[in-house]
Amino acid sequence: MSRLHLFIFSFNMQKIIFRIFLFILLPAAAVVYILLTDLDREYAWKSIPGDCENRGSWIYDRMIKDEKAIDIAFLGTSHTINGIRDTLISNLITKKTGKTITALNLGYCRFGNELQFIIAKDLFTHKKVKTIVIEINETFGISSHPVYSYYAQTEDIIHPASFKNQKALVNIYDAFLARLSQLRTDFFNTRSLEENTFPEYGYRGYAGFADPQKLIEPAVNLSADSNPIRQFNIGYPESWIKALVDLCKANNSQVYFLYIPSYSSQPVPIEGMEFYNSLAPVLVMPRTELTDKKLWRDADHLNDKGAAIFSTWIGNELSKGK
Amino acid sequence: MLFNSITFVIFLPIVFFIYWSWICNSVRKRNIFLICAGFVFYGWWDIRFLFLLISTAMIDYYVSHGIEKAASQRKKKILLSTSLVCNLGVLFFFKYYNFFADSFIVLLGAFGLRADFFTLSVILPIGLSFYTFQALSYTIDVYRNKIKPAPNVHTYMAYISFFPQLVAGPIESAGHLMPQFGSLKKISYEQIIAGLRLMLWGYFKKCVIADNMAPFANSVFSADANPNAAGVILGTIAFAIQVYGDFSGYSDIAKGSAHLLGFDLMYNFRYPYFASSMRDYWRRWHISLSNWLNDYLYMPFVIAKRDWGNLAVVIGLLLTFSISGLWHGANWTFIIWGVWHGLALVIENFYRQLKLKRLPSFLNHLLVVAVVLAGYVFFRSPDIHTTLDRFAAIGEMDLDMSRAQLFLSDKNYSSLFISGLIVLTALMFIAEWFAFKNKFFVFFTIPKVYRLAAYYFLLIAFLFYGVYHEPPAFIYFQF
Repeated sequence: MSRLHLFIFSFNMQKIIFRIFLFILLPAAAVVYILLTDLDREYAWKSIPGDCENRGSWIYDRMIKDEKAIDIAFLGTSHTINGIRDTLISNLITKKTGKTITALNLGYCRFGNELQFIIAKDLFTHKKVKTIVIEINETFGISSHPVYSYYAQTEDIIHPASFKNQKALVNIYDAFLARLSQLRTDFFNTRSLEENTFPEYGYRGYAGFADPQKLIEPAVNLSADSNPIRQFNIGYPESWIKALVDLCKANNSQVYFLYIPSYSSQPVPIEGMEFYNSLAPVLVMPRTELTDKKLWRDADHLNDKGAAIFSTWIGNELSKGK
Repeated sequence: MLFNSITFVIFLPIVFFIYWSWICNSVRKRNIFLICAGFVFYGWWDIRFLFLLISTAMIDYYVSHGIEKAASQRKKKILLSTSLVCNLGVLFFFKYYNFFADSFIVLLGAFGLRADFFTLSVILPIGLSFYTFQALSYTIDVYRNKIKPAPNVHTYMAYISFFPQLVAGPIESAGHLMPQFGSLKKISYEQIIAGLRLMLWGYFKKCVIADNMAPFANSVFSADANPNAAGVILGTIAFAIQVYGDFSGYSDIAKGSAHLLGFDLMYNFRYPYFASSMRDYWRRWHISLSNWLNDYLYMPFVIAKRDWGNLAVVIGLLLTFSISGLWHGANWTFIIWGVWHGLALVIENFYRQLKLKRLPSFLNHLLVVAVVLAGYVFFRSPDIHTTLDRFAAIGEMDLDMSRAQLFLSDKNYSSLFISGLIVLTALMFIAEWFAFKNKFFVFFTIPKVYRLAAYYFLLIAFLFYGVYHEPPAFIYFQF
């Protein structure tokens, strides 16, 4: 205590700290005010040029402007974008059940369950979705999604789950920049929105296939589990997945987890299986059906043919519950 | 670590509070703490080059003590040469090897000969030119008996790795900066506030003025652009404002940060665009480099060749400014920029010697600005081809703004934004004009209430004009 006392009250420090504190009160209030400003949803989804081929712009239009129903929504990463043929699934389930069902691929490039939460939140605000299918992979995606802060509302930026991440402060800073950018574009009247150039976006196919030499067996190292930093970071996707499942349940939507595999000729363990099973049913396609190297665009993404096989299997699985 | 990064905004207060706390209650502890802070600051960019900094610094430290103890002049010379070879060798390898190898191949090719040198994929360590010149000034001054060697390793390392000026100067002479590491400073309210004011002004020049000017200059000087005369002239003016705001802003932040820790760095800029002659300009622009070149290159050369009369001055100026250009970067555009300034000084020198009637003051100012702007066309162009293209465009005198190509970046501008930027730039120059004329800075001397209003005005300017998304690095970091 005496040392702390020395530190704060000696060397004119008290006067300096007090004056600086008084001076920054006003700017700090301005920063907090900006941070608490809500992002206009259209601005949020359409203000990042080129990210994921302007998929944010399409997602906004399809979820909010387009009046067509969405019965089944697939949330995930580029694995979802390339692996889920939503039209094929819609037709298959409609044919099997006799009810018109619209499935939609709402995948967004790169890992980050918090972004899927934001998509689901906006989705439920405008659509009544019966089923949500959430992509899972061999390991948790522990990093924060790089554009999450630009799409999220302030209440989600300060959601308790946000702080289980090393990038929490960076996310708050980015969120501040996103809101400041909105304020500026409104003030200078320079708002420009990235328009959606793909009316039927959803699934993005690829007809070719990977060089077989490059389809090497994945090196999934689950021994990294014991790493305390990773353990801390795993809390981040887990919290967001829980929040996402709770959100779906609150909106009376059935939740499934769907394992979208990377290429491998052998079964690969899925990190957090117990965790997923405790929350919702997990759909895992038998690995043997995807071992043909001509079904892959690259080691992580299916091509058109692979996606067709995979989507047919998913369609059949989902029809069972309809 | 960049001054205009969120990391530095967190780093500096931490350093400030620890430095002034009970933890650093002796000169030795403070120096060691500053060395650690410098290493974190430098290593944040690339930790590997920290070892380069440490190893060259260690060589210089021991060489300087060797020089002090050496019994004969010959031994002193050998030791000095060791320091010169080490420092300039590192500089040459990282900065100039590829440039000289490529130029030599082109030269031999012109004579129909072929040579096959390795070209290396080398990353230029940030701030290498700055700390190499600073280290050289130390060993040369010890050799010349101008200063005593550093009393201990921590004083010398603290001098070399002092983070406010480590990566982009000012290039401090050991005689000025090093003694400041030898005493236990007391915190002074006035000094802290002066430091914060300088930093605020520096950030305004960098983040509000320079970073907003950059897209215009970048548009005009990108190799694939094809601007007309209006574009080149306005783009060059934008670059002149950018480079001044950027580098003098950096220097103000550096000086302000040093103030927070009780240190005094030299002024690196004294309103150069208001200079009345080219000689005056070089006494005001990048003063620490000008002083270095004058003390260790130009003056020794002119003194050594004084028998040559005026020729020594001419060759001395051209040589010094060519090296100044080369110091800025391994590119012919920089060397020509240096020669251009050298020639301007030679002509000015002759004009002065002829004792002709002096031009009116405003004409002198205009001439200086014109020479400096023309020099920037070389300085900013990525290659000689682009430089020639831009001068050809000026020659065509097409002033149609629709073909200026000033707005090639994807940023969306409104007339309100542009007008505001022009007003803010004008305010910056008006404030500096007052400082130039009255020898004091207007924000520091006006009544408190206006001063406070001025600070908040700057903060509002930050809010609406500051560049935060992927903020550009300081231009001089690349040198």
